[in-house]
Amino acid sequence: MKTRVVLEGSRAHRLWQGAGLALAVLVALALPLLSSDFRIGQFSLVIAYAVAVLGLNLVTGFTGQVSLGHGAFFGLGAYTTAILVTDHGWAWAATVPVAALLGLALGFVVGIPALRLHGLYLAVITLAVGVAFPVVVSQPVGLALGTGGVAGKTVQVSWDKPAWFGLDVSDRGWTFIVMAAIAGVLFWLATGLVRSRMGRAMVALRDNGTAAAIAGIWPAEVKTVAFAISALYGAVGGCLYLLTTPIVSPATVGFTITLLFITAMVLGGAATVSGAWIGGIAMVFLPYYTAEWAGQIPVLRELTDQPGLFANVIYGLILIVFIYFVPAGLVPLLTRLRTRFLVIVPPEAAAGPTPSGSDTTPGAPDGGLAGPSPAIGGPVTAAGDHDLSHDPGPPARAMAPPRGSSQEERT
Amino acid sequence: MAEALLQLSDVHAAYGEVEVLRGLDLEVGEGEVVVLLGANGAGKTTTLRAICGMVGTRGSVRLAGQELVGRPTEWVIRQGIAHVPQGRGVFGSLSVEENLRVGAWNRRDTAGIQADIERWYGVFPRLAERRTQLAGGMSGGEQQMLAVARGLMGRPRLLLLDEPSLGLAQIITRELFRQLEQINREESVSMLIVEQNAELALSFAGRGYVLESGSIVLGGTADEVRGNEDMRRAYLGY
Amino acid sequence: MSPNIDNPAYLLTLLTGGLTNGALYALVALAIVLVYKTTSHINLAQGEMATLGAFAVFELTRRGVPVWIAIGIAFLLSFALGAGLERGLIRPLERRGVFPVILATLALFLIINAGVAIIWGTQPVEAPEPIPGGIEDKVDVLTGPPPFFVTYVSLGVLAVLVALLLGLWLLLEKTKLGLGYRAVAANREAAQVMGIPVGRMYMFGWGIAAALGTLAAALVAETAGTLDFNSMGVILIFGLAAATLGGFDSVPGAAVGGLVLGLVMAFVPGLFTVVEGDLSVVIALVVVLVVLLVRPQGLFGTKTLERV
Repeated sequence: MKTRVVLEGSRAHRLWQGAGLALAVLVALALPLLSSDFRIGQFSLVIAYAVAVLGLNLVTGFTGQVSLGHGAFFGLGAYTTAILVTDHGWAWAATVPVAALLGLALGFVVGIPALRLHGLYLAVITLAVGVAFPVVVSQPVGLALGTGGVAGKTVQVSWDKPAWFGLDVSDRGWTFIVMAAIAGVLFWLATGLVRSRMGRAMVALRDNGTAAAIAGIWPAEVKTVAFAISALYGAVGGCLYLLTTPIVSPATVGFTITLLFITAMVLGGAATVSGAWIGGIAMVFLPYYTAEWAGQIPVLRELTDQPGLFANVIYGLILIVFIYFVPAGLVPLLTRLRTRFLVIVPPEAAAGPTPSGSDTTPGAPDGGLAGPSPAIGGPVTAAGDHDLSHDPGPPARAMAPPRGSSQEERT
Repeated sequence: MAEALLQLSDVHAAYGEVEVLRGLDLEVGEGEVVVLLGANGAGKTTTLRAICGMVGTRGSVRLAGQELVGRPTEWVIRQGIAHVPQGRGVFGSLSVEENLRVGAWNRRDTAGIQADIERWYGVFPRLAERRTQLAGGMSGGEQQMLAVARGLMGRPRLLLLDEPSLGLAQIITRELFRQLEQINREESVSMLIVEQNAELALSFAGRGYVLESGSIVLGGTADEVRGNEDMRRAYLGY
Repeated sequence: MSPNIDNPAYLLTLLTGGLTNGALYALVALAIVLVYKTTSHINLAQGEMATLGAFAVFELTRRGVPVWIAIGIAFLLSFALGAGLERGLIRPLERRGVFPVILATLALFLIINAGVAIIWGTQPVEAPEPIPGGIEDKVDVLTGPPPFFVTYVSLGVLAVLVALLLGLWLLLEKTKLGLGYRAVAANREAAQVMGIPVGRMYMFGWGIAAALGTLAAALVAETAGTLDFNSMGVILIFGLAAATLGGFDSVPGAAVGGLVLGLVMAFVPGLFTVVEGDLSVVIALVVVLVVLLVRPQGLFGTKTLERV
């Protein structure tokens, strides 16, 4: 196929973007039309998880802060909604802002230690928060708040499809469409965030904290805001979860789900927005199909009565395979695949020689969402030429072999 | 002519994508003291690290005819090289005596190790006074002496010294070099010294090299190096 | 305030209970510290590896192996597993920084946790009893009323901690291997140029840590009476809190941190009935927060955790 080159921000680019958006809307409307209620429920769960994973991407993937307590934020949102709906008769929609604000507040509080503490301390603190949360909700103190203890909190949210909605979808399908719309807004906001000044500051902080501080970025501000927003997404993910599942229990929001969020993040691509969708899909369908397959293989069926456990083993293996072989996740891979027939060039790059042919790789993966990351797919030879022609350097340097020849030499 | 004790030919070394050594040639003869001069970032420390296999290296580094490139550091050290790293690098949470014992890691002769410890205590009496003290609590000069003595505990054929005078008072530096000279004379330990204090180093070394941007731009006897116009202007300041 | 505040038997029971649990936290903290000292990594799968070791003990005793011999075999197997995982899984990631290593230990967590549940089931099993744990296996101290006694299990757990500390001290301070390990811990690069095989010291740390963890999990199971695939989940948090309190690079710190944490977690709810229920994990979280904000290097530590 012939490669098209499109200038970022140009009419053609807008057209492609519009087409992509239209396709997404079409899929969101077609799924509930074509699927059974069971499938729609699964797709709805994908949405809830994807939103939560996106939150983790923002703080860990983009900002580089280790967060091992994301399940607690997810649980906070789910429990807030469950308690307000079941015990206080609130409408689901009314609970979302409350859950979001509580998530924001808890994220901010967890982010405060991040101001003074780096890396592993943060891992310890967030891990402790993540492990403490399900314990607290199952204790008497949690019961007093209405968490339902170990058994969990049941909640019934069921919507009827409004009369004005023309498509012939079930009530579940209608719920799915509303969830998709909410998720669409949240992903759109996240895309805007990572492209904003704040987003660039987050990436700068991740790549080189000291340099970022010198460049006038205030790390404290960026870190706490990143944690707070991450927790907000986690909490809203928890609210959405209750539209698919009528109960939340300590087992749902334990450390395991945090691990699954992390695996999902790595799978899709930690420093991408769209990777959260891949992660969400994996979180729903991987255990489902694993359990199904394991149930069909006699050896595995005899081994345990809980075939879902095999999914966790597979998650672990996926995590290891991805750390070793696909550390950037699937989205950058897919983006590279896309560039075989569509290349989007930022305006400043187009000022130079126009790239032609399918061998040209765009500078930034994920359509530039990941921020400047020249290490991946950048035009290596061009950079080398630039280096030699613009920097005469001392005479000894002229004897240097061409750049890149030494790169394979790392032992 | 027999091959020198240490022979570097066309050595390239890189940290990730940044190539620091670009085709470096250098040799140190048996019993010889050689000084390596150069500006900050010229690649002096990297040269020593390349010899020890602590940085990705291409080319050839031979010790008494034996190729070192591609070998792990602990193997290189076993061939008779001691490296006194920059900024002393003593084991701060170990006692002075334990530091010396770590220096003798590859030796099995318990009695010989004990004798050597006593010997360096004799050479550096300050260390004897503080033998049970944690190395991290000592002054900079004492730590430097400990680092040198620790390097010599391995009974090396070749001693690599990285900026031994860094951060030391002048009087202590002189004393240190006096000791090194004596060790070289009495033990015939060969030495390759990286040094900022060019004047002092050239007064002690037999030969010198000047390193610039990862390769040797000048090499010769100490007098030749000292006599070179460019060299004088750049490093000696007269 | 508890109404039992002036009851000596009650206070002594809190004391022995706190010390016993504290000794268990100390063992886990020791494992974490022994990995951290040389590699500067925290193995988040430490608890799950320990659970696996405890199940190995369970399996061996079920097949008729005497319990202490079973512990010895599991101890050696754990050492091999720990050292092997360091070499095979963690070391290749070493150059890529801390985050990939954290992810790898989380992957291990998932795999071992689920693997144990698949092999031995999700229901608790009866814990092996290395120390006599019957009703009558106790030393009566105060005849009462109310009586005060110390169980053999409590005495045994504390004795194991003391014996292990002594053994570790001998190993680290009096052997050449220990000297090399401490040299790597003190200055990795300098140790390398002394000719010390740094990688093997990492493996040694991981191996010893895994072996200690197995012992800890076997004892945790005995004090709890049962063993299941999630036995060490919360204990890992307590171990991390104890290591934070004592200092991540300090062996004596881990022991003191564990005992202090155990006492705090016994006396705070025992004397002040602020809230109902078992909120020990919240106490641990508070301890971690206070230590990190007031004295990040812990009571005995020297380095602060600054990788990443």
